[in-house]
Amino acid sequence: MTLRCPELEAELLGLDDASSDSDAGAGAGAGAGASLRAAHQATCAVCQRGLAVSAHVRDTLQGAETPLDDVTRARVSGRLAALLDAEADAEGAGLTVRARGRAFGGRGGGRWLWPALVGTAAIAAAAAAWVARERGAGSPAVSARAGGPATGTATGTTPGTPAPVASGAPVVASAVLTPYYLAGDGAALVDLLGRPQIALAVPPNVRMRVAVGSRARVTLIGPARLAVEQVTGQRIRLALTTGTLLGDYAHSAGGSLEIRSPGALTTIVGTLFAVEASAGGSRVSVAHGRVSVLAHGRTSEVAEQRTLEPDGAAAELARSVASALAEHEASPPAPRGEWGTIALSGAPALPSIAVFLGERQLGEAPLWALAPVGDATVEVRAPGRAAVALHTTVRARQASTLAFALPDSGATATATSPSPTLGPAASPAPAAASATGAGAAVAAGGGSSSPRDEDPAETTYARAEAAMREGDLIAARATLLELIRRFPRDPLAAAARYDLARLAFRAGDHSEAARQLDALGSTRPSATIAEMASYLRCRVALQAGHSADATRCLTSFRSDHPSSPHDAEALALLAELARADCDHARPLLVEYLERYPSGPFASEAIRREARCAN
Amino acid sequence: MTLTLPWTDLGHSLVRALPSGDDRAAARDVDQRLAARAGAGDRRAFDELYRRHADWVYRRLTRLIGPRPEREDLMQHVFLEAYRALPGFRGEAAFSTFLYRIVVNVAYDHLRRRRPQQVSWDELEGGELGELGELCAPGASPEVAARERQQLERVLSCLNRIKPKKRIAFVLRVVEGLSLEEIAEVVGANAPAVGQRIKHAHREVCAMLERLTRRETP
Repeated sequence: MTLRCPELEAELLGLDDASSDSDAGAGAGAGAGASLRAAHQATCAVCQRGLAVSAHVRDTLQGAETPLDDVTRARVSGRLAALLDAEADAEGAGLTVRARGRAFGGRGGGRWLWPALVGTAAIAAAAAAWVARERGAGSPAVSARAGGPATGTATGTTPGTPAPVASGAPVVASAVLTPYYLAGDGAALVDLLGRPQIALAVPPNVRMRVAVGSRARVTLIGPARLAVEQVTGQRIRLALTTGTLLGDYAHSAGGSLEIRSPGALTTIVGTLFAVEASAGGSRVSVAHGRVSVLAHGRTSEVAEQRTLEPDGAAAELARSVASALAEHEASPPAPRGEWGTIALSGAPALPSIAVFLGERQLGEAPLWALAPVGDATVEVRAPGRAAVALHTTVRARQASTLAFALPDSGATATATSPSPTLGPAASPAPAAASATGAGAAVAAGGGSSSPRDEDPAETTYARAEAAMREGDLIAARATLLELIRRFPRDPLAAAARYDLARLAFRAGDHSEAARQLDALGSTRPSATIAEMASYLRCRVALQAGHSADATRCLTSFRSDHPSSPHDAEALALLAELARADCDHARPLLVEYLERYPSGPFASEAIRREARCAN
Repeated sequence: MTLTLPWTDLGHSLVRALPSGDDRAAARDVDQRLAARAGAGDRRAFDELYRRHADWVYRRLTRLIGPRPEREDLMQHVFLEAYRALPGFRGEAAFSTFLYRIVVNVAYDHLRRRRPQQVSWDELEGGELGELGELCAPGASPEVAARERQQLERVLSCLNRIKPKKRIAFVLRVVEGLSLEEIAEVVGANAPAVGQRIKHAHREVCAMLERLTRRETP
């Protein structure tokens, strides 16, 4: 049965006059008024069924809602603060410019801007991919995705308006940094894979490989910060403020790659090179080809197997750098065409373990890598141990989770677990991916109770969250305290304090909860966390049996935070506290019913209000 | 044009997120002031905007994309985009309109990227949607919860099969209660085009629900 009726469509669209298209079937004539429409609907089976479907969808979606929970609210607030801090740092260093391309404010702003930007960038990316294919270079598969509206994450910076770009250049095309491989403590960064970025912050103990446009790729060894400074056609300038960058670049006519780092501007001609940036200056090394470096007011050429030290002196290429560059060069490039994600973890976690994808060395486990769609074999090798071969089928935009256990000798153990979770490019779901995949194994299985001094705040907090999810409150508490000790000024420290107070509250330890809330208050937390802490303080007082304190606290809370999502509950609690006193309780009950007529306390409020009225 | 959010239609969920009644104009003024300060780089003002609107954004995302675990990341992305765009926010439109557009754009982008290609009904009915239990009334009996979960799963299964542009227009009209002009303003299309999307989405949802019902009927 086809549900088509002009009156139904007019009702659906909220039109005063029906104006259906020509394929309309039975029903009253177009142009009927609302009252005539109502009469028509009373007898029209098509209308009744169609409207019932709309009502069903509306009621189902509206009726099935849960509010944002405090932990999520605090977590997002903390991550947002950390990300904005990182962006402010980069901006202060002249690395990024505030986005204006997506501003919708003001008259005429109602354009569907993203698709337009995506379309423009897609054309540019497709052109770049075509050029790259024609010249047989680079990693066009990833660059072809450049310009897709990447999603913000804790450590990636998504495209905005770039720094000075040639007039008419596509805005989003500046997002030329596309991570395609992660190793080490990179679980929290998995959602960056396959997503073009304009800036990247790589934490300690993380190794990240990034496609830069279509002709270059770099390995960043954390801690490192890299940002796109300028993109003009095929000319790219990056800024490396700190960390080690290993790179290779296929030179093209009219193209160039420049890297600005402390005290140096390195122009890559076509080579395998490394730049090590620190506050003390920059060290530039070359394995193959040559680069020119502008430093100390003069330009120097760095030849093969040579290094230019921060003080301008030339030296032999260090063996460790040569080895790292060789590994970078031998690693698989970003996949072309459709890809999925391989997540690999296992035991033992030896630094000497090498992971191969086909014949090319991926790196060390744990790792997350984009791989071409199709059957893949990952081999894990370690000196003195039997190699383990893991077979999987990589599906487009899905994660294939692999785990290995290397036996001491002889036997092999293979475990392959297909993961139904979408890959990071298909969905920005680091939580889902890490919850079911290897990421979780690293974050949680790494030992939520075993402090790791090298973990960044985000990873530490993730370990605490994992412990809380598992119900291991002792480990969670220890990890939260560790975070506060190591990162006292990080926005996540405030979230950690709140979590500690919440854990104490749940455990019935009111004095500890109050102590943590006092400590949180002294750190000038964000408004979001301050609000949640204020409410938790009221609940602590209530749970401790301090009714007068709780009443004062809740009254003050409602006054300070009139639009709080906790307002309904606070009002209900105040009414409950005033239960024995109708003079006080009744205005609260009436207010509750006026403001929250469908609230969970509404039916009880009606009953009590009626009792008071009598 | 300033978008008027459908306060009354959205009921208590929105009222909880933002003040109601006469406070609405005052709330809007507060938002505009905060937005101006945040646009000038005042992080505390932005933090306050987050505090005021986080719930509202989360709910809108839930309605637009379903109860996906990605909502948390998308919410973060919405506010990140808002922060970046605030310097260009001139205050001629309401901040809520400004934020609504970003929410819709983020949701659209997400749906476009993750839209299943030719997903079979069996796959859709096999728990692909996940976390539906979260959305069902807490404290409901197992039977009621199961029924609600099934209903939600059916509705979301159908919505998942509709093209994102149509789905968003449909949800904004039918669930959010926006007018065609308001939807057009939010999605940056003209009202007749939005009307076509809604009509087609409605037909598709009707047909799919009917098909599901037939399958479930012995």
